[in-house]
Amino acid sequence: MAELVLSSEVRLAADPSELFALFGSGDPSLGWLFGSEAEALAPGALVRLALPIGEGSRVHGTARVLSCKPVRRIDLVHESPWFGHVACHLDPLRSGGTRLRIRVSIDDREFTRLGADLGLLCGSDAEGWEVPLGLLTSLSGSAGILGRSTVNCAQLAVEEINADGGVAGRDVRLMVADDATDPGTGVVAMRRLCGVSGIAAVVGMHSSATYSATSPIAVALGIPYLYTPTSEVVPTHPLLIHFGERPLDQLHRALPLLAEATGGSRWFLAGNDYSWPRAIGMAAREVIERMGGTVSGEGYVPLGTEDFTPVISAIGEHGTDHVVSSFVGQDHVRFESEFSSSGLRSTTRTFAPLMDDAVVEHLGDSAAGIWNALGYFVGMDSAENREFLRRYADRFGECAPPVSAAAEGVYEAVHTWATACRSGGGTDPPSLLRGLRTSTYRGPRRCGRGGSLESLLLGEATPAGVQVIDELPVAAPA
Amino acid sequence: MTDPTSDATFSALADQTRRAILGLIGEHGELTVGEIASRFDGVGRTAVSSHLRILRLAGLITERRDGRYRHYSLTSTPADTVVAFLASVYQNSLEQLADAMNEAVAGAASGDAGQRDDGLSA
Repeated sequence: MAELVLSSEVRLAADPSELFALFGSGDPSLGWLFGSEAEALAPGALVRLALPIGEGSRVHGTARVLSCKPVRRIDLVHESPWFGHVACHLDPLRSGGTRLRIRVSIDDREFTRLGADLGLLCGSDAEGWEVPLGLLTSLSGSAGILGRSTVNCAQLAVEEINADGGVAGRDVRLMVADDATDPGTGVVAMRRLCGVSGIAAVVGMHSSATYSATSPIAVALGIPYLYTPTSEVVPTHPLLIHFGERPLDQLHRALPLLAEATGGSRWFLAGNDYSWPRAIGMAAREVIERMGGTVSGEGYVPLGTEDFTPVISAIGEHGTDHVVSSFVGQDHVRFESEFSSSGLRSTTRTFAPLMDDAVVEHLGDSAAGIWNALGYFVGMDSAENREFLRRYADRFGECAPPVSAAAEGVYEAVHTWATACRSGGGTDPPSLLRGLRTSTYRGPRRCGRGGSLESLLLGEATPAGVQVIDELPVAAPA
Repeated sequence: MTDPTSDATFSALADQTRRAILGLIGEHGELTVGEIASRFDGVGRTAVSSHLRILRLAGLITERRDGRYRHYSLTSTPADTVVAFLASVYQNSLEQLADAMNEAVAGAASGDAGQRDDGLSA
């Protein structure tokens, strides 16, 4: 595959060992690359980046250490907001000091995707013999930390489908677009995906704020929209197909169990300020009041908040036994980390409807004890899950971003789509809808016909990842 | 390859609204200010005009006058712009590192560290 290679260098007075020691220190004044946050330089270790490409603020991204030769060379894989390989060479100069060279390579497909997301390239069309399948997700912005594993999971599913003969005798081609965790950007990206000649469907793994702006486009253009994350939105059209967990299912199974574990009755509701966290708050209040508990307070802050002190102080002042924490992506990571530093973790228990393996990887020890109920956790004990994880590791290597519930949901949705198209006899909407009513895909999740979720797993965050502690049946849809 | 330190390209593309405007123009081929403003909630004509001016000065779009209307379209070398954008993001990081190191060792090897190129050619 062709790739773009960029090189850049500076000469610095510091010697290589001095510079090497600065890498990953988290000091933004050292530039976004050397000033990134890296806890370790071991292969597979997470590197957090804050790129200066937002309006006034920074765009958060992630990379992973591929290899490291102390003092002389660091190799990274960028995961978001774009995918590529970065090699940093630290060459000692005879005169003292260092020549720091970086070599960046980005493959042509990712280059085209990025160009399209920047608004500059029209994106590639699929070849005539391929079935284009769109994926709209967040590769930048607050939810961008989940983006790379989501794209990987979609790509893995597509490759497996193609190895198995494709759909309707044709290979499937994945087309990816980034909503930047922003509804306005999402609309432009969605229009572009829907404009791809012959697009069969769009899989969406992004916020419900983007969904409410993009779903009318899918309906107007007659394109099936397969929405995968946990969501409060009730689909209003046959072409809007939802796979994610419903908040009321998550909460009404899990909150009574958490109250039973603590013996407490007071709850604080906190989250980002948009439709989904508000819906979680309303559903939680209903469940809490039904079981005789009380809501001691509520606090919602905008997406992209940097300082959570006011919410955390409010939680401390109100006095509570539990927190329902509905933050998203980077905000979720930052809130839980500050909450843990405040010492409140030892006196309160948290239920967080988006806590999954990716969030726990970012949080480490400070997540310990958080509960959630989702259709999938990496620690799920089943033959299908072991097979899925083996395939993911074989395909993307040791240094790939770990799978999470959000990403795995996309893997299942793509397979469910292909299974339904095969069963229904084509990729056109009537065949797909017919196929969804009659076919079942058996992946790691416990799903019935058309990908409807039959049970949730109750998970608890531990320093070693999310531990599955129970399996809860989902109520039949009303 | 395009000049890797194109600051104008970088700051033009660093804004989400401007990227969305480029996307819209790319989608339709050619649009007027009014047509662009009508497709954005909460972004007025004046704001759109100033975004268009920045995009035009960065060489990302061209303007065609037709009577009272100005029509905007993408320039013919968008791939070069993507390259310039990416190159400047990485270059920017190294320059900041050089600046920080210079401050730390103020006076030492000052002529040697962090050569800058503030050229505006796209």
